[in-house]
Amino acid sequence: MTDTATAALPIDLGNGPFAVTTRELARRFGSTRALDGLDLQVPEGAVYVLVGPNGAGKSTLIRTLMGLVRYQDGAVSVLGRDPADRGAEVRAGIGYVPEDYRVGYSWMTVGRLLEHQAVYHPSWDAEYARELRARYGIDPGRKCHALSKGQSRRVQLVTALAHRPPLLLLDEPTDGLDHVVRDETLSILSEYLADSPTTVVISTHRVYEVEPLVDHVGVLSEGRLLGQLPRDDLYGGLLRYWADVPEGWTGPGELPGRVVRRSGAARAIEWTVWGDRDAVTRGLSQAGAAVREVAPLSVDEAALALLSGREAT
Amino acid sequence: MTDSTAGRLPAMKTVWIEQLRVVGLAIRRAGARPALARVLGAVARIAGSRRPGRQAMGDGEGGQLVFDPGEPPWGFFAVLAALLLPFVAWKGERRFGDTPLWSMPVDHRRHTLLKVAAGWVWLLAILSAALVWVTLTVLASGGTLGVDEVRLLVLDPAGAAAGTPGAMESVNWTTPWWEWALPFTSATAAYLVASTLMLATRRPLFWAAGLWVAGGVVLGIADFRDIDWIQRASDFVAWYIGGDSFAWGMSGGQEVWTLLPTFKMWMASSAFWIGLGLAGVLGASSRARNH
Repeated sequence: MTDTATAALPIDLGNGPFAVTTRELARRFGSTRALDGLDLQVPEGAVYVLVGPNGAGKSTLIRTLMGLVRYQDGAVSVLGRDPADRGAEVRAGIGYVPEDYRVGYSWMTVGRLLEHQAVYHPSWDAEYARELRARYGIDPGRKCHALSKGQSRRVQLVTALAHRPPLLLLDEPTDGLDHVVRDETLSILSEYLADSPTTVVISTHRVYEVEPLVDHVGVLSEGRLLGQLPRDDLYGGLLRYWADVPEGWTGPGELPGRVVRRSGAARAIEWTVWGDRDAVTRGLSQAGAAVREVAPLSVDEAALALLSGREAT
Repeated sequence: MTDSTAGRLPAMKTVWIEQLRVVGLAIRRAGARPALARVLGAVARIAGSRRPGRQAMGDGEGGQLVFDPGEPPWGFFAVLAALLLPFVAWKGERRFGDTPLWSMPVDHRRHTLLKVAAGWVWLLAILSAALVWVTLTVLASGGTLGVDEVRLLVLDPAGAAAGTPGAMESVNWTTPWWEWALPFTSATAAYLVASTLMLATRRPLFWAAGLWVAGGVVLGIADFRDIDWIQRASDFVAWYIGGDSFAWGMSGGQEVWTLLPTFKMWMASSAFWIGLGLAGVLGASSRARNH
């Protein structure tokens, strides 16, 4: 038995300050709405993960924040500026890892590519770039076209971090990395965040890989945010309830929370509910269900629950 | 690093110099140096063999080398280089995607124009190097630069064909100074038009081929229907890109011309084609602002 409802998690994160905001952001490609009235709020200093299935609009959103895609409706502010009008200034403050893993000019050597990046970023930290290159084991004499997918990602991470930008936009940053390099990347990111006051937006559908870094979560589907909130609020508010119910039980009726997902078979039922834990537990008990266990969801599980609920409606 | 410089824009001069270096590297990577060496080698061989015939570096009287900058091979070389250069300059840039150029902290349109300008500077440098090489080759072999000759100008084509007296006029012709600039201006125009196609279309070769075929069809119709103004316009374009189409043939050892190019013609055609190319590049670069 499966029963779902669209969850309406919080979207408003309050008054900020925010490094990135969008309001009613819309972008269509032909008849497809890639971004559909999106209200993003990324607090300054946050590590914000954007979760969503393929085609949800994550990359379009990040490219819009970079000023690479022009939006059609709404408003965008990145580091206090509109990327459509002041794209150069916005990009100067962003370290960007694109979804596409091809690195810069394929005919350049990695060393020349890093020189090229340094020219464009007055804040380029050559010593830090060398350190990152060494940690990633990147050969500066290697031609960019000869890099593997994972090596290209590493070069992209070096170019994104080495000018020490106040904002990082990372589109699937761990894509193509093996376990060892992925761990090294997370370690580099952690150290970077400890050293520099930085806001990070990570787009991924492998949330479990970056979950230790994340403190805010946005769930995106079909160009709209299903919710955005601090990770701790997600842990505390979106919970999974396991309960035994009597024979012929018809359901709890109205619960004091929003049911994201309900599944189970026979007399053992599982609910994923956004709401106050005590109130939901009380509501289930009063309806005759015996709550056995209540547990928080990981960000990955929460995203899956929200997205599968959305897709089933 | 840096806190004070984080998020600061690069100086335009720095970006300009970097674009010059990047385009230069792209040209070198594309094998332009060996290609140029081969062209120059071919030029030297032609000079060495002193082959007869009408060409940019041909035989003058007494077998001496004469280099006329307004003659076809030199002009065609310049225009061909100009048409190919945008493909080299934009190598590695995904013009309709997340190109490295768009991701940099520089205004997209300005960045595009800087790259086009960098390619143009390299074009002029290549043409200048080739011109210097040819000039030195001609001078080293005891030849002369420019022509000083008598040309027969056709005043009445039908009468000239029938041998009517007075249908042709003898004109003393000395290579004017501006003919030395003609390959540069025609190459500039060709480079700007090719850059427009590069920036505005996803498949510039397809469009170039399409325009070429369309031009051929128009000329074919003009020829079939005997539409004079199209034929004249075609001659004019051919002259401008080094086609030398006003030269009609030879009569009594003298060149017969249907029209002798003038400074005004050069200025007008330069203004038209370079203006058209500039308008195209400026228009196409606006696309970069609005993906």
